[in-house]
Amino acid sequence: MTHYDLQLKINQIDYSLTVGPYESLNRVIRERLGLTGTKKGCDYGGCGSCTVLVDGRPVYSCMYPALRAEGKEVTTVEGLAKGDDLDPLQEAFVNYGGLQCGYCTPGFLMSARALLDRIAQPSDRDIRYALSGNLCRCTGYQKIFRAVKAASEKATVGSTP
Amino acid sequence: MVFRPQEYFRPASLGEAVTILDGHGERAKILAGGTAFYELAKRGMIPNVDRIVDISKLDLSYVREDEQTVRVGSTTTLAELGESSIMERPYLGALRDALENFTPAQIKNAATVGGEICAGVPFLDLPPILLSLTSRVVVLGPKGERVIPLESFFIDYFLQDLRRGEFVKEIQIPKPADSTGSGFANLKRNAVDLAVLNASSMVTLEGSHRCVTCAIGLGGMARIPIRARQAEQVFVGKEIDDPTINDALRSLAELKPPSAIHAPPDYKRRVIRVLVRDTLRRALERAGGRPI
Repeated sequence: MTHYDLQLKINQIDYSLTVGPYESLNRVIRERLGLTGTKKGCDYGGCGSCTVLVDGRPVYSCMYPALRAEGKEVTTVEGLAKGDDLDPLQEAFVNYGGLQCGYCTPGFLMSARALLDRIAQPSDRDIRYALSGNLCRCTGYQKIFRAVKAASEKATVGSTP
Repeated sequence: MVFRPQEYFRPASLGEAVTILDGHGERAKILAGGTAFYELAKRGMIPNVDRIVDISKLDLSYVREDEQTVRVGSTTTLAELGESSIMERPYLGALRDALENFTPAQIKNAATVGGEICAGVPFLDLPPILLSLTSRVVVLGPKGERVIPLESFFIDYFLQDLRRGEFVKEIQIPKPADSTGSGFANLKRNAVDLAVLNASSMVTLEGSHRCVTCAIGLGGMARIPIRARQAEQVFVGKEIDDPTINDALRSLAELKPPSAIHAPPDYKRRVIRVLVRDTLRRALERAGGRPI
């Protein structure tokens, strides 16, 4: 089996490694780089717990070959907080009870981050649409929805001079 | 099932891609967006494939147009196509209907237009739409390019008119006459599921209602996406109104769709009539016709 050199940029940090043709971005992020915030759930694009951003767009990292990520900017949940300062979305998830077991949370956070980066004031439909590729079996979704809505409103208020 | 490919090719030119595909035959498979590829691989449905050919570096992600044709590169993602400025055109209304409502975002950002027609399953959204837009497929291979009507590209489940060494380079949508509109509708169990049925109609009008041409694409009604030729013929030269629509829909009763676990053939035949009627209404409105 052939292995290939890969230069990866994850959360603004450059990594240089050798990967096999079978390795998904999810596997490399979790098992090779130890960034275990990103989860693996169904492993074929049904649950969303593996969601990361590639060039700002949410994708399922379980179905994304690691070798394809060369030259692209990957963002995982570890890239959201700035030092000890949580991302406003992370704070909102805490404040609104947007998680229980927490397994789906990194995926939801990445989908929501991509939404708020693209649309500062999303409609309710925009939020539901953006979260439609992520499953949660604990919360019933309402608290996640409220957390994202609250984060978007806070961001809007905060940006008003 | 554990999928263990042995090699991963990233060709940098169209010629290199053809050489690799030709050299490895059935052991090699194109990876476009990966969303169908990995699902098939992990379900053990492509057991002979152990070489991945990633065509993402071939500059085939584009939406271009000239006077007669809209050209969509095969690795254009569904998100990129949906964001293209040409989506405002009334004759592409069916594509807009599908892409504005396409979920989930993670698939929309990865799945490609070429992958939609090469995945080989009969219920994806784009194939019936592209059929109703009378699209052509540009295939590149060892003997050069072939341009074939999309309708003859589909052969059976997981089987397309692709010969050894060939792959899809581009999808072409001929620009129709003014007064053309299209519309799309599908049936899904929930927002993120694949469709059970899908339908797309394009109509070109003369005056406010008289139909000059009509093309209807259906998904889920046969082993491959199909045109509803008999129904289309009912409209040509006539006013599109409730009586002609009812006439046309009657011909759909002769279709013999494969049974699905939550949609037996009788149910599909009933629901497809509702979907086609809906798409005709949308197409007619976008073509500038009187609402029905």
